[in-house]
Amino acid sequence: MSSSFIVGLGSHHGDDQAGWLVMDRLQQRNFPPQQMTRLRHPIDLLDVIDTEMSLVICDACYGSGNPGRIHQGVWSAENSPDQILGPRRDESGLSLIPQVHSGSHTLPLIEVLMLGRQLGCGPSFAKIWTIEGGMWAPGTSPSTAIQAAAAVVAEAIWEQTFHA
Amino acid sequence: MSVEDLITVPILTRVEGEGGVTIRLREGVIDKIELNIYEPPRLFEALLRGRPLEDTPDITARICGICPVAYQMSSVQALEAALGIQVTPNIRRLRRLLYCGEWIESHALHIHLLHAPDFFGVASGILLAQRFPDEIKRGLQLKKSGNRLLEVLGGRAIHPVNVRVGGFHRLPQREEMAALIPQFEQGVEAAVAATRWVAGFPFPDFEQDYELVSLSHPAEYPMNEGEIVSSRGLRIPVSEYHQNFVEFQVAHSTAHQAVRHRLGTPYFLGPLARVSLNRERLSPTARRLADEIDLPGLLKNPFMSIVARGLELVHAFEEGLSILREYDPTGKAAIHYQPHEGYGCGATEAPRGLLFHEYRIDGQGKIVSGNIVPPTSQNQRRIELDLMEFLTIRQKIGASRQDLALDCERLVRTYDPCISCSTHFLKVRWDESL
Repeated sequence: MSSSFIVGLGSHHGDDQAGWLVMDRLQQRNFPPQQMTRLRHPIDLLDVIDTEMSLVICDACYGSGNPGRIHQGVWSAENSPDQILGPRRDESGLSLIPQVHSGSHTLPLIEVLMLGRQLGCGPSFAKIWTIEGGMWAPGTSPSTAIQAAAAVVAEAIWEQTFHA
Repeated sequence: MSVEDLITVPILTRVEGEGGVTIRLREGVIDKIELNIYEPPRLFEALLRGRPLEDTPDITARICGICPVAYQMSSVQALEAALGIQVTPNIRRLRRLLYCGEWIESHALHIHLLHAPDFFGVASGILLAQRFPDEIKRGLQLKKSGNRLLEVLGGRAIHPVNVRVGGFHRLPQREEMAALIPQFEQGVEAAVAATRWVAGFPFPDFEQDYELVSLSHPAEYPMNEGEIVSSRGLRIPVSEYHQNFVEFQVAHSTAHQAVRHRLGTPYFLGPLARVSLNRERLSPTARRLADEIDLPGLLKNPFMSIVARGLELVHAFEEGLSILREYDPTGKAAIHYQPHEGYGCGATEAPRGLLFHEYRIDGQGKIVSGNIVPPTSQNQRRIELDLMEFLTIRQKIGASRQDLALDCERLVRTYDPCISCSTHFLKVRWDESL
């Protein structure tokens, strides 16, 4: 078993709960609680990451497909700031993960990862799962497409963590 | 025929809601500046109608990701006023402690990663961290202490859930609170160092004759309670808010703006106003520091908001430390009450200024109506006038269009508004129209 640390980013606003839903699913499967956390703001990653960590981040995204579409990619400190390279789940070849949805009053995810690296407190590499959202109204429930996608992502993380 | 020319900042990115700025030039001279904000407070107010009053603190907390405590505090103040609830001194102190946590989180982030880069001509906190790694690390450590406090007292770091009408759902154990003391002791020193650092920044030479407005309390630095006062002599109870301030709509923004009632003049909320109007009630260390850095009595330069935030950071750590040291978990967690029909209003000091709430409830304890006036919408008109003054000065000394767009962003950020407090990559589009 690898010692991945899983972070679910999200808010209470509709499909922005995608990252938290993945955490819910992992929790239901008794994923070790000390290896996972939910966060509201990407900046709060700096409170939980370290240089040696095998970091996996789950978040909502928008602008590159229908709600529920899953993207998987890798952030590396060596990439250009705006790029996360990785195969889309339903396509072959390399493509860019769309902009990760960021909450209010904070820095976006990639900027936080870069800052962590810059300050010598974050990993040089992170796996990133994003789920395409379509509805962000305050206080609303996530769509069924997002819930289904979150279950798929949780299953994939479980498999990669315990059976890779 | 006069020629209209536009400098357009179409979208301020990575913010809650959407905003932009349009600078209209006529015959090459700045003629008008419009700040557009798109925020959904009305949606929340409508969402509350018909719901149990107990839902209000948690629902309104979700209006803002960085200052949920402010929304919880203003909502419980207003609802407790409607119900005639008087909380115990212990609950009152713990609410101040919770607010200290939020101010620490918000101010530490804004000072170090969102505002400081503007003074060094860099586009982001990452670039600033290359030049000032120790200062940025210190800022993140300060923020972390705020997070930890919210986790312990608020129930969780994401969105605190421990606040309820009448008090708290549960009081933390003594050991949990005691464990925070060492980091708050270090926090006071670190916040002092951070404030000394920002006090040395090169501030643009720009002063305005503001009407500064904040809460004021005879015995303490304003957070949860007090009268509303201003630098022009206003002193009123919160219940007279509507007799003195009025919201109105403008065509270019979906957010309300606000001015002084009858006078029609804008006013300025936030740390600059709070420090100016309540300097003698800052904590001892913060007060000494204000003297040491020769802070003017009445702050008129909006760019110096970063120093005011630093002083409030010191205050929040020092007051927080005092409350933590005296913490007694043996009292009541909450005052019990019977719902009844009523109306109440309340105002508290969110990190970025006075936040007013009012509610009417029915005999079953359901919300009949609610009204929320956030600080950003109240500052909006003042921001537009500042932009007009500042950019006109800058244009007269030959600032380029690109510089004007950057100046625009920098000035808006001094207010730490919801629309731009995370924005460092402003996309500027130039439009020419005849």
